[in-house]
Amino acid sequence: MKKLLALFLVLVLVFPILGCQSGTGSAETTEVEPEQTEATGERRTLTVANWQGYGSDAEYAVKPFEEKYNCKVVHQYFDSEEALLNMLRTGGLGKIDVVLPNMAYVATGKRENLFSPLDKTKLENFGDLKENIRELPDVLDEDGNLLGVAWTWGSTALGYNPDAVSEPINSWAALWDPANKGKVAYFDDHLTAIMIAALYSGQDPENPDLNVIKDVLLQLKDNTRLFWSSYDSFAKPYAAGEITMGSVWSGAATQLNAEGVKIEYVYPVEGAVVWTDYWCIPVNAPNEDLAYAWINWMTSVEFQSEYASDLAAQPPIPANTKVYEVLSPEVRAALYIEDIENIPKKVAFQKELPPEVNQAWLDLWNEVKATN
Amino acid sequence: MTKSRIKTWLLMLPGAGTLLSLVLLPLSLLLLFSLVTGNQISLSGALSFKNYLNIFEQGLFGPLMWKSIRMGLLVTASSILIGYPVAYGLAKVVKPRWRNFLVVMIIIPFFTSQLLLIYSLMVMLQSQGPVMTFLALFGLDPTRSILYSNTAVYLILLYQFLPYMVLSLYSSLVKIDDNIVFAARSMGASRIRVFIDIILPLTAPALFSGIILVFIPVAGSFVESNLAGGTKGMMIGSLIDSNFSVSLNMGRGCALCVLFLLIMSVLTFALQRAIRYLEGRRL
Repeated sequence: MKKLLALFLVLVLVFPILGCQSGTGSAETTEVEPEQTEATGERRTLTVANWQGYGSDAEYAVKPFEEKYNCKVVHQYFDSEEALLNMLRTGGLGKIDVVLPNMAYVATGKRENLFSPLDKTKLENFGDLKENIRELPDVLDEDGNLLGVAWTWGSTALGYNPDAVSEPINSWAALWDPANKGKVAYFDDHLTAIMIAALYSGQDPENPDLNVIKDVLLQLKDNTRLFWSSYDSFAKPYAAGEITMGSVWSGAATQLNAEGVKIEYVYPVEGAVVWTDYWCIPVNAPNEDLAYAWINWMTSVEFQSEYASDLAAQPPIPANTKVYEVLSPEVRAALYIEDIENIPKKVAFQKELPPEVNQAWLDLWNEVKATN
Repeated sequence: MTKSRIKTWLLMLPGAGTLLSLVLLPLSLLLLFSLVTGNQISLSGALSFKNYLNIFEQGLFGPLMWKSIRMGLLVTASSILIGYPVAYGLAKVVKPRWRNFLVVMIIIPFFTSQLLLIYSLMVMLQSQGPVMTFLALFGLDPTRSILYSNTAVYLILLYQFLPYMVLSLYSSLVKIDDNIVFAARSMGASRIRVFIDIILPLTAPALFSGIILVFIPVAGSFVESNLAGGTKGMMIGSLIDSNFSVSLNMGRGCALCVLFLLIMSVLTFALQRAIRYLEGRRL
C-alpha cells in the first residue's frame, strides 16, 4: 500500500513537470520553425516584438515572409505596453528589429529616443494607410520624421445584448440608465474609464474636470456589476447572462459574434475611444532592411486582408484602406467598418499622458473603485 | 581571532548570508525606495517622505487596509472553525490506512496554480453554472450569481487557504497522545474542557503557524478580488499592484508596502501574544 502510494505521488509530481512549457514571464521567446530546415547559406534572423497571438505570429504571416526573404522570424512577446518599453530599455536595443507599440507609447518611446526615424520612401504602402492615423503628431519626432507605421486600429465602444433591451441603444447614457442596474460591465483601465466618462458628460476627453468625472463615475459604479480587464473576464459573464452591456473592445465584439454569442456593437453619438498600433524600428536594429521588408509585408493588402478575415482571432481593423475594398461585406460588418467614411463620427484617441496626469487619473480611478 | 572563531564565522556564513541577501537586503531596499518619488532608481534624487504624505492625503489606505484585515480575520476564523474538526477527524477518527490517502487528497490542489483554483471556483459559482442551476430549482434566478461580490471573494479565499490550516493543525494533532485525552475524560472532564485545556494548548504553536499561513496572504491578496470581487471588492493589494504595474510609481508602491508591513507586523505580534497565552493554559 505504501509503495503504491509512493508511486502515485511520484506520478502526480512528475506529470506537471513534463507538461510544463517554457515558463511565463513578461518577455517570452518562442521560435516559429520554418519547414525547410536546411540552411542555404547564412540565414538571418528577424526579431519581432509583439503581443502573443496578435496577427504577426500566425503561420500565414511568418511563412511567406521567411520563404521570400530566406530568413527566420523570431518573436519576443510582451504582455503589457510598459513591458514593451522595458524590453527596449533593458538591453533590447541592438537586438530587436521591429516592435509594435500603441500610439500612446510611441510618444513615450519618442521622448526616450528608443525609435529610429523612418524613411518614407522605403515604405511601400504608406500612401494607402488611413489618413487620419498615419501621421498623427504623436508619431512624428521634433523634425517631423515618421517614427511609426500605422498597422491596425480599433475602438472601445458600446457593446450590448439586443435581446435584453427594448430598443436599440446608441448612446453611452445606456450604461448610466437605472433600468440597466446590475447588468453593466466597465473596462477596468483608468485611461478608457475616464475618457468615456468625459465623453458622456460632454467634456474634453483629453483634459476633463476630474471632480465632475469622479461624481459621474460613482454614479456609474452603482449601475455596474463588474469591471473587466481581459477578453475572458468580459466574455464569460456576458455569455452567462450576468451582464448585458458595457464598454468593450471592437475586437472582443468581433470574436464573440464569431463564436456564436450575439452582441451588438455601436459607436455612441457622444464618441468612441480609438486606439492605434504602430510598427516602429528601434534604434540600433541589427537588420534594418529586413525590418522595412517586414513592415511592408505587414501593411500589405495581401496580409491584412487575410488577417482581417480571420474573425475568430479577434482581428483589429487594418490601417490599409485598400483592404476595405477587398474584404467581403460580411467581414466588413463583423469588423464594424461597413460605412467607413462616416463611422465612427466622433473619436477620442487614446494618447500618452504626462506621468503626473497619468498618476492623477489612476488615483481617481482607484478612489472610485475603493469607495463603497 | 582564534582559529575556532574564524571557523564559527565561516560556518555561519551560508545561513546568515542567505538571510541577509534574501530578506534583510530587499527589506532595506524597500524602505529606501519608499523615500524616492516616482520611478527613478537613482539615489541622486532627494529622499523625502513625500510618498507617505501623498498616501495619507489620498485617504484610501486606511479604509482599504481595514477591509483587507477584516477579510483576513474572517477567512482565518472560518478556516480555524472548519479546520479543527477536519484535522481532528483526520488525526484521530479516520483509520490509519486511509489517513495518508486523504492527506494526499488535501495536498493535490497545491500542485495546480492558484489561478486555476480561483477560476475553478468561479466556474462553479457563475450564473447558469452548477451551483446556480441547482439553486434555480428552488426558484432563484439562474442568471444572477453571487459572483462579483465580497462573498465570492471570501469563498474563493477560504477554498484556497483552508488546506494550509488543516495540514498545520493535523501535523500537531496527530502527535497528541491519546492517553492524555483518556486520562482527562476518565477524571470527569467534559469534551469542551478537554478541548480548551488540553488540545488547544498543545496545538497552539501549530495554530499560530496556520494563522500566519492564512491571515497574511489573505490580507495581501488582490488577484481574487480583481477577478471575482465586482465593483465593491477592492482590497489593499489591488492598490499596491496598480501603483507598481499600471503607473510604474515605484516609490508610492514601496511606501504602501512599508505601511502594510508595519501594520501586519504589529498584528502578528499581537496574535503571537494571544497564542502564547493559550499555550500557557495547560494544566
